[in-house]
Amino acid sequence: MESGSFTAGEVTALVFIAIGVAFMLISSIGILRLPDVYSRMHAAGKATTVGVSFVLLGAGIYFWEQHLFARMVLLIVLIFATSPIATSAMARAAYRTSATRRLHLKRDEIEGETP
Amino acid sequence: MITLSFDLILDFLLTVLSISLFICFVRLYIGPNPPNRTVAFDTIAIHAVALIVLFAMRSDAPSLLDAAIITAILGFVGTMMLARYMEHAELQDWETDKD
Repeated sequence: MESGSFTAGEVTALVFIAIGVAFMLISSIGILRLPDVYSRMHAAGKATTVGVSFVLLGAGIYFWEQHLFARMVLLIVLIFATSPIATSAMARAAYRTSATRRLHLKRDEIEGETP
Repeated sequence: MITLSFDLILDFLLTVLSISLFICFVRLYIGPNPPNRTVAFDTIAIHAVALIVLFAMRSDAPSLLDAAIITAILGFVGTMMLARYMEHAELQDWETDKD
């Protein structure tokens, strides 16, 4: 297997995208394998945000000549602003409605309060 | 002799990301209750953003990046909608997740 010719921007973009795709694959395996809904949310909320940010950084470096890096940074800021909101809303809904907390949580710090 | 080109590596990364998306669809299918499916839906929306960006790079179409922005916003709105629905639905007969 011989290597073709790469520019420095292409190599940097591929390294960033490979890191991001690895994060997203690990996150998906965590969503499939972890035992309850809160730990699945932990896997989804952290690793997927970091993974897609690395993918978008790599794409911004690849599209550097077309002046699209600022658009990718805008998308990263959008995802970093919206993903914690979505994850906390999901966690609050799961805590309020489902019966999983009586099965899985050994220590419930906000029991009795209204979260 | 395979030449290790940029497009080949990008195809490999697209394949890995598609496998990851398939794993999320498995979680969406086996549930076992609506909070788990909401987590899977959120992850699927993020995967769609990454897949659109990688496809824009693969086919040299920078105008597809606007579609990625719209997909991110729609995924957030859909996740918030499902979460608010679950909060107010009072569905007490869900199956518990013991797996």
